[in-house]
Amino acid sequence: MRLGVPKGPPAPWGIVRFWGRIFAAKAREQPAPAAAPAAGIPHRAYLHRPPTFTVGVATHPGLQRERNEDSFAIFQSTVPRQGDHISLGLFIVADGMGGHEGGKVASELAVREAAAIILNKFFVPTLGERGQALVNEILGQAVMAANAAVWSRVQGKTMGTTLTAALLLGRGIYIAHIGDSRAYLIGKAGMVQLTSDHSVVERLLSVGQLTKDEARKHPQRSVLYRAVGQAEAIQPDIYREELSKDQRLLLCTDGLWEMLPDEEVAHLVNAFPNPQEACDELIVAANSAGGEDNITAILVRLDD
Amino acid sequence: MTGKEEPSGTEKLSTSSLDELAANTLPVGTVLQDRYEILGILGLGGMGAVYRARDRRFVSSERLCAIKEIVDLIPDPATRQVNLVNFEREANLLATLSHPAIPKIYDYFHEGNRVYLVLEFIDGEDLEAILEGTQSFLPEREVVDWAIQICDVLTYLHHHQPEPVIFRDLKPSNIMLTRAGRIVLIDFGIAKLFQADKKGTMVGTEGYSPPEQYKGMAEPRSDIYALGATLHHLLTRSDPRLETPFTFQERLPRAINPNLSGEVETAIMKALEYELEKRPASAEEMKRLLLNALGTESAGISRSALLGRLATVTSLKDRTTQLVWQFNCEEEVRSSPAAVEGLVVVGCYDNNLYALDAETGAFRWKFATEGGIASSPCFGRDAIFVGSEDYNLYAISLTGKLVWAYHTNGPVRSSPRVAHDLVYVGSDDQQVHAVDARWGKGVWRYVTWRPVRSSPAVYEAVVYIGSEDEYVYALDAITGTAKWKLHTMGGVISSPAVSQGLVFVGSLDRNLYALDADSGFAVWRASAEGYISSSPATDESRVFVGSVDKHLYSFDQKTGKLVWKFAADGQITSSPRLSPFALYFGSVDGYVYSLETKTGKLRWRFKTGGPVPGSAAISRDVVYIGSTDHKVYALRA
Repeated sequence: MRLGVPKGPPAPWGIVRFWGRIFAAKAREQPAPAAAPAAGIPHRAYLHRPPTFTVGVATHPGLQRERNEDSFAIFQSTVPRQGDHISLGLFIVADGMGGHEGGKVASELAVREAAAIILNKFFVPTLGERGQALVNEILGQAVMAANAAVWSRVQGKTMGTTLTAALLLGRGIYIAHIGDSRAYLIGKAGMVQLTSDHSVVERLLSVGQLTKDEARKHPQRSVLYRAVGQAEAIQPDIYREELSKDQRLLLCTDGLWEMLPDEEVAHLVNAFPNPQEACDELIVAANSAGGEDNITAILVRLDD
Repeated sequence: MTGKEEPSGTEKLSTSSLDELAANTLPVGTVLQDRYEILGILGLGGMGAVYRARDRRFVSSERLCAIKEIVDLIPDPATRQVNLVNFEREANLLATLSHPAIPKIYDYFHEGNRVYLVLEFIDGEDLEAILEGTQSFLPEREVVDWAIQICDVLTYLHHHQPEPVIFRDLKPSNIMLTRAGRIVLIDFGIAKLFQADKKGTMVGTEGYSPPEQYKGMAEPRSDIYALGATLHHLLTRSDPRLETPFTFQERLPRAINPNLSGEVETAIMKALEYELEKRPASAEEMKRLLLNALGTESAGISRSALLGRLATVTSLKDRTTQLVWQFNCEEEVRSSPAAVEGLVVVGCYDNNLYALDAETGAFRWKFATEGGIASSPCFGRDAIFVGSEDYNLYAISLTGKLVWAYHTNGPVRSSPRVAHDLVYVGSDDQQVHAVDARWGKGVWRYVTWRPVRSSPAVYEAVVYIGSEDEYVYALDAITGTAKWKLHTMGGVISSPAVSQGLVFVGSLDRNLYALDADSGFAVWRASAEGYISSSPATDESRVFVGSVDKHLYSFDQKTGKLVWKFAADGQITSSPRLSPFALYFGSVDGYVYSLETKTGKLRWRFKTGGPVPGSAAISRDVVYIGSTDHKVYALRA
């Protein structure tokens, strides 16, 4: 937080007023700030940068599949608030399944539909005067819309997709999740899995009826009990976490996490501070480990 | 169920191939083997149709039978082979079985490119169809009666010689109920002779199958689990195929269907144990458990048990707690006490701030202001801070001497908070004030449009506060500039609580809001049926708040889903306070309540002589709270 900042508002006082007029027409005249900026300070001292973030992304069909049925979307922006702009990012991965072109159709449709809902119903209104949209509700609607789109397209065919969408707001990360793509927080101390797979094997693991090793080798480890496009209605899991500056957010499909042990993923992410380089290295490592499935990775870092 | 890698043998047919099957069914009137005349279709399965047919050798009577077919439509030769093997196994197995709850087999033959199995015709409906055809809960007695019949047939199968037979796919759609009320198991397609220690592939139906079947194991107790899953579905109407797998232990039958008896629930949950050793050892034992459950009911014990239960409910409501001490003020106590260094400090409408001995309730000192005190005191920087309706914010020493007074332009009903050497407080002058805690000098003010009666929450150098102008504000704690503000549809008197990056606050628009602390975006909103002027309290995963709709609510912090709600007898404007194991609040009905944090169950309630609008302070297992009966109470927590 900005405890170390010198007293009195920093440079963007005028900007605050400007946005204030645009985004909160009701802004009321506030008492003069305690200390006005002193004269004679070099212009650079009042240079103001809103918080930004850096994203890396990479996808690869892997070594054993002809097609890449993974899809993803990335959106990077900031949105104005009373005091300052805050980061807004949208990251989505989807892993399609089904014969012929079905998997790709499903994953791409789901990603587009979910992104469209979140941008239209959440991002665009934040540019207006009031953003009354509820984050959790919008995320739920996005997944339901993706599901409806895939369901109407693929009804009756064994076709569907996973969908993991993360919305970054300032430091808050809001995740809507269906299937077995995953979100992780990675720091110097290691990595924490934020989502839990919608697979029967994962459930058996969590009720202590399979060991980690049995789960890893289970013939049904990829069988999902919940996927986008498999039922008329669907309820995503919603998670909230906070991203700190020394952590990374990783979204990936099972082509990455099934191939690489957690330690190796964490090691690579920590070894390559640039998120794009780290993503490239993750793909290379997953392929070196066998590349059995399509691989997609998105990495997010808050800038200093 | 979607498989990215479909396991063989459990492949679900898609609608298109079902259509194909339907198009390939035998037309009515077809005669097979010059003997069986097709009368209609009973159902379509994965491998072909099941027909209703008539045996023409019985000329003068209409002898009906069911004919199952297997059609060669499945493109994958391995799957086709599995299906054929299963079909033959079913035929051979049924030929060796004889039990009233198992259909008799009459014939088995090939004709054209299809294979047929002729079975006893069961005149009735399967239990899934019965569930679908009803709206309300099925009567417990009847379902338990079916379950006992199922236990009987399972006992027969599990004692089959030379090897036990495991049914392996018990579920409502595989259980028929005849018009005479008799149970018959159908579809022995995957039933198999039990061979100990032999691993196979998983077969069965997701949702009803026990954990060990996912390791390719099936033994008699696997059928007991599936029976438990079936009973759970029948009695709760919640379909395990649509629920998260292996969550029966979190979805107790009586939580969904409160009419069920405890004994039946216990039997079902025992059958649904994940560990084999914890389940009933056999179908006979399961039957005994169910008979006992019925027995207690029919013997009329349930009535007295019910009365007993009612009696415990009333006695719970009457359960009170020990009064440690009480202290009389000259006027109503509408604010909340603070426990400070062996003192209980509380403001009163008689204009005084009282300091009492926390252990004995003995009067220590009082500090007189010029107005009523609705604000609750807080302690920090060696001083006690409190607002008064005389427009002042006061800093008072622990001995009751004035340190400083800070004048605002309206009554101060908001309760101050101390952080960063600053005291933050709202005033009816429509402003939020930040005051130097040591000298009482104003550092910054933030102007809103209506009185500020909400109390600030300070978290990571941000002050969160509501105003009657319907906004929630996030102000930089050092500079007082707005970080964000969020509009609700009603005044915000409730004071925010911050937990894990979320700000929780109630509004007179009847909603509890969860806002992103960093950006101010609303994450979720949960609605009550009345104003929420009570301030939320949080533990590590839940948020608690009262409403004038007389309820105290508990919501999940991340999703806003209701965890429980408790009905008091009066409006709740008091804010819940948490101890490690319980929560405490007052109500306009005159009671101080204590609930279990996890369940919302009443622990005790204590009657005071008037409405209790204020909130409690908890220190060393004692709850301190004021009432409009002019008293301050110290109660055993």
